[in-house]
Amino acid sequence: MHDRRIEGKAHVFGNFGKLYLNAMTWWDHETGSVWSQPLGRALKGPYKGTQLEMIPVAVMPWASWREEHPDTLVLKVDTRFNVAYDPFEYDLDIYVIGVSLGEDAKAYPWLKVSAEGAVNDRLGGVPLLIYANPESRAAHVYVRLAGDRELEFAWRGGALIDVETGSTWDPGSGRAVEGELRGEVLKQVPYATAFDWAWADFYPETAVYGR
Amino acid sequence: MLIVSALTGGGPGPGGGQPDGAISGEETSSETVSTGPSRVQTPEPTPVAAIPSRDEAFLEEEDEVVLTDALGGPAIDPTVAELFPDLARVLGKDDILPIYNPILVTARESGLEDGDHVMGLAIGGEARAYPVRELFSREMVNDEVAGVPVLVTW
Repeated sequence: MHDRRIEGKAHVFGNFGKLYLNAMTWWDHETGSVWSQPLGRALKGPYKGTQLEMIPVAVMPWASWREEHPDTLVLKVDTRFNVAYDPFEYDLDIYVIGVSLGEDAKAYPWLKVSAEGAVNDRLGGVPLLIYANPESRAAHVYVRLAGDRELEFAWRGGALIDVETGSTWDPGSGRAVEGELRGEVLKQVPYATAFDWAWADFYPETAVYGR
Repeated sequence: MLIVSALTGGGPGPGGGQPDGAISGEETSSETVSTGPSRVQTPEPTPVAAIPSRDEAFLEEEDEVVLTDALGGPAIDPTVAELFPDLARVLGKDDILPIYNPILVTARESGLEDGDHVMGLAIGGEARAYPVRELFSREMVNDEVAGVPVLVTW
């Protein structure tokens, strides 16, 4: 997910149709520049080198999302175009949660993160919390800072808590819902759910968590 | 067919490694656009790094940048998939038609099943769910959430 604004002006993007490193490309209606989806960056044309800002999203079952966001609006499904497809028909063991911050990229194997519940890590100097729930199949990445205070998280008794104060956090919104830090909100970090090999194509220097 | 070479050819671009002069005489031929030799890749095993992949080859080509009516884009040409199964995804602009004017419904109206996967976005107090099966069919959505123009892609 990306912000469509370039220097403050909203742009409209279409499907360029060709593949770059096995991943989709876009064209923008204003200039016809060609963009790489995973990079969010123009590869050729007048906007070459321009980078769109990435926006954090989460892919999860509808029931989990609706529970986190009861007032959500939903893109209407147009059955004329629909193709039967289950994105999770593949084994989860080839999925990674990919995070790219500045010069640094790291892949967190989905199964490893969901087995640990909460992973405390650091990427490019930024303390990160990587969360994945094997039941809801929701994943989130946050900066584990409350103000200036660095926190360490753990998944205990079916709840996300910080070790320092024992406060309980809602993994969906990154908000502390109980305890000393109640009301604090963690900053979300954009990530990509990708096949491990696809992530490595785009970030050949990527680190891999647990390896 | 109008070929606008000024966008991609012409002067020495920033960091451009290859001089454009040597091939400029050929660029005006529209026949080379779809069948240029850079598209043909023989399965030569070595040296791997030196051969641009099929995926990268189009970056060297001139593009047709006529901005056609995106909303009325054609359906996927079945012959492409039949003749070139491994190139089935290498299509023309908007052959897989993006959603330019999304229609939104409430959670109740959505008709989604609990287990259907959605891509969820929450910003500025607003939340959106994009059903993955719709994203799989259309691949791109130009939307606006809480005043932020967003591009949803699958």
